[in-house]
Amino acid sequence: MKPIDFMDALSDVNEKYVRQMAEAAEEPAAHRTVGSTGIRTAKPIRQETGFFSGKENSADKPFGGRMHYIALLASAAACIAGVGVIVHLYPTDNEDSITADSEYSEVCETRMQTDIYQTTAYVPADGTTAPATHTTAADPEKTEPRVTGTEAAVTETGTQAAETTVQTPAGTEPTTAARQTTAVPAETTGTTTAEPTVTTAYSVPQGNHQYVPFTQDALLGDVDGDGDITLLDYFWAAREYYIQQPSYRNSIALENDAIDRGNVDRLVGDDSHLSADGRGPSPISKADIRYIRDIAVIRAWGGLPELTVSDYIAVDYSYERQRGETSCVLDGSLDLLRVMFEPYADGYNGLRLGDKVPDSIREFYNEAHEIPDGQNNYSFLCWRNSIFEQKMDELRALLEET
Amino acid sequence: MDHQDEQAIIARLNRRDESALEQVQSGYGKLCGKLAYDILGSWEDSEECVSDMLMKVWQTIPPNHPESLKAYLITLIRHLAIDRYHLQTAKKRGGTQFDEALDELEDTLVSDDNISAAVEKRELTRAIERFLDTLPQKPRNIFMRRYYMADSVRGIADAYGIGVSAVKISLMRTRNKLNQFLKEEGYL
Repeated sequence: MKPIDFMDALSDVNEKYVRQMAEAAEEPAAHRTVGSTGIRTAKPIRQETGFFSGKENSADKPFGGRMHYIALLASAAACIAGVGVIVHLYPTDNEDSITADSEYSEVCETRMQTDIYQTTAYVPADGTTAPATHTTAADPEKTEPRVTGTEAAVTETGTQAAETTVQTPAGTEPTTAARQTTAVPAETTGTTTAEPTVTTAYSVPQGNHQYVPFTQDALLGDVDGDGDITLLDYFWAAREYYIQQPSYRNSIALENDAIDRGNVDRLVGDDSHLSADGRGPSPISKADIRYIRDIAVIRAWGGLPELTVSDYIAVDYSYERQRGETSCVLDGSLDLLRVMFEPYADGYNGLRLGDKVPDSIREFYNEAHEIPDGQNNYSFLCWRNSIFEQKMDELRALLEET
Repeated sequence: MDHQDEQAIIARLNRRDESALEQVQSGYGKLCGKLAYDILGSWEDSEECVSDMLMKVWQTIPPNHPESLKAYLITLIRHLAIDRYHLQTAKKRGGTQFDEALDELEDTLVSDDNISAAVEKRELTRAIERFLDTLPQKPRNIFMRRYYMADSVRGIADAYGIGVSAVKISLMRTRNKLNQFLKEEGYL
């Protein structure tokens, strides 16, 4: 199946899916309040531009008795382009202006939690499968007037429509053009990647949590979708996690390890974390963040460029290792980590990169993890969105240089 | 524009009141134009699509009486944009005499394969609907925004007030699920 075939078929899905999507797009801003997450409070650009707000109904515009489509459309396009330019030129000002100082403080007040006590057993799923393809030629269905609706639907030509359950606009111009199935965004393909199936077996010192097997896509590590795992993925994942997780927004929860583990388990156990108001916790767990960071570092500068996510996860260098309880399958991994990171109080899990990493990257990373005066959180978690994105651009440039 | 406004517009369309189209244009012109642009990559083409869409609205309401005018317009503009996309890609195919000859033969050579392809497409659509039904609402909306509306990841993140990476992860999960689903259904 080619992506365009899928897109064609998707065009005809029941209107209810489109309606739900369209309605949902109008809601998120209303759910967000200043000071909740501190970061994700910027007004959606699309709502500003009116694409999805539906608020720009200017019925009182002085159009005359006749419609001037071209003029209207040209002005609409110019407006869209103009707003787009403005948004792109001044995106950060807008965000910054909305991110109040109180929010800023709130983010900085969120606390970092030490690593979670956990053991994990990871079973990689089957390998990659390329999607099968077939070509669809001219589609006769397109040549039929298609009208459906909740009422007795009649086509333009007066023919009673066969289907009445799916309300699809009628009159789409038939086309006999051959299907040229190229130039479709790669993201639309059904490509798959090896997906580690992760089974957790947390050792819970207290509390009563149900731990269930889950599949955790985030462990693939390529958070930004650029095809590789780098420190960029780490920063994005970490920021997403710490900013969105409720327990970090409400730091009192962090005083209890069991609560934190419960959160992690809930976060990765299902999709419900993507709550309807867009304020749900991140799908990424703290362990993911650490894995992503370490994999990025080891791949880039640890002499193991082919290190796979599942291989690394199997190492599980966590606390249990120090306690002699881990079943480490990659000898020397702990030593490797100690080389990559500066020695730290706990011996292996130092947060500062060591001198095996190029100076420019190390300085960037370490500075990002400094804890500002009067704060108890990493600097990069205190950066506003605009600053963060700017810094990520800087890091990308540094990574490309090395 | 709320449901009541939409129904008022539909009522005016039923009365053949041309000014209803102005309201459609002012209320949803940008949305539809953007969708068409995301598919076609050309403002000029997207404007023409919107113009065609307004014409279709005029032609199809009545008899249609959509429950949601917005969803109706989105569906309509997507069809129009994809049709135009096919047309464009077909044009880009060549322009040689051979291509022209192929085009001339195309209608002549409509065969059972084409019909079965249409049936397959319908079946695929039903399969996609079954798949969508398996998704929680949020990931489903994100999926639809990306692949139905062709919205950007950033745009989706802004619309839902979540991070770009959260959108990407959601899309990645859904694509993986889709891949698995389509395999199970025998499409892959």
